[in-house]
Amino acid sequence: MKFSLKQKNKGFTLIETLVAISIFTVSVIALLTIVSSGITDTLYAKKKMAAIYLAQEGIEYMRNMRDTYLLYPPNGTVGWDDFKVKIEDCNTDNGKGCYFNDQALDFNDQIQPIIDITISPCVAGVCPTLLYDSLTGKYNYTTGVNSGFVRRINITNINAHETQIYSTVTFMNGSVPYEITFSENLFNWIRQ
Amino acid sequence: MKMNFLKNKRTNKGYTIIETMIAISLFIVIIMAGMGTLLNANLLRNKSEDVRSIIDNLSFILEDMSRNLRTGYNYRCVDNGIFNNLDVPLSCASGGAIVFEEAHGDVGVTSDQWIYKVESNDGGITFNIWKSTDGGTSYVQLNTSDILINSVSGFSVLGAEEASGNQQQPLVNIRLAGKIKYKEVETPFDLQTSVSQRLIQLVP
Repeated sequence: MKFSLKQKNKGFTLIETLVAISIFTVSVIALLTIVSSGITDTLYAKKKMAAIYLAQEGIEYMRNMRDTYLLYPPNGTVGWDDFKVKIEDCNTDNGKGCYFNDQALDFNDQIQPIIDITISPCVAGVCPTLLYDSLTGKYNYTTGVNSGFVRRINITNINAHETQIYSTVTFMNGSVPYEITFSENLFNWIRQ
Repeated sequence: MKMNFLKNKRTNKGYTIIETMIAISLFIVIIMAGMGTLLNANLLRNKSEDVRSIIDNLSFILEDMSRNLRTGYNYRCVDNGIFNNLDVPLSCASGGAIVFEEAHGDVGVTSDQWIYKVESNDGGITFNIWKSTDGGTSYVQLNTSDILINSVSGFSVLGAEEASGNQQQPLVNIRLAGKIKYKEVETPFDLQTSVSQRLIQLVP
């Protein structure tokens, strides 16, 4: 008699309830995480694409400078040496990289406009953030709003006629920092 | 004996109607909330999938332009909408279209020039990107209707001229800005890249 009464009054214990609730909570949180990560991944894909093209632009500018300097040495001497002097601030041995500013680039100048580009070292390894000017559609360092992208150029001299260029773009997605690095080896292709 | 009967009766006891109703209503409330969340999640998944395919389209446009310009030559920037002298290289600070000789093109023929142009067909509110591979006779639209390009998109060309005294390897700056409009949600994008001509330009 006593036994049967005890059976009838039996419910869940506190521990059982807590276990059940926590299992339920964990599964709901897992679902929500998957859904929200899908949305942040879309934003990340967009930022990453912009960063990739900005990094590629860094490589193209360096390459254009190399070709222009080799074809027409600006100081009338050896183009490859002039090019290396121009980008010396980017040398990893001298600091932590550099950035270039194409603000002074004159598109009407046909002589040798690319030499007007300024290359400055990143002080203490911190390069300035690119600004985006929505009136001209250009990324620059003078006008516009903070774009969140930081571009850094590094070079390593492999030998007297070969230089490796790294173009790195860093950006934040939420609170997570991301980095895109492209690299290319530039050669002195003219026999002096 | 009487005790036994009573005990039996107690063991066979089921749920009361109240208990059943409470259980069912709780079940319905939870399922309703759950279904709402599930449908919402599905909607968001569809949205991010669509936005991603639009981003892929954008990436394709820029990739296509930069790849063909890199291997092409004789860049002619068009900043006034007039397409003439297609085979004469021309620099500009900012233009809405670029004409060039594709890598496998014939230098003596102007009808095989490739053209990329940013053009509006609603009076300058939104723009589209067009590509021609036959000197402007026919155009193909590259962007989907979800991509609304704005007026700052275009090209800058540096050192394209073949005049003597030109000591600059040609460089093209490509800008692509606007917004992705998907179901009344607008996501802005600002892309920029540059391309240095691979073919070495030797001026007479």
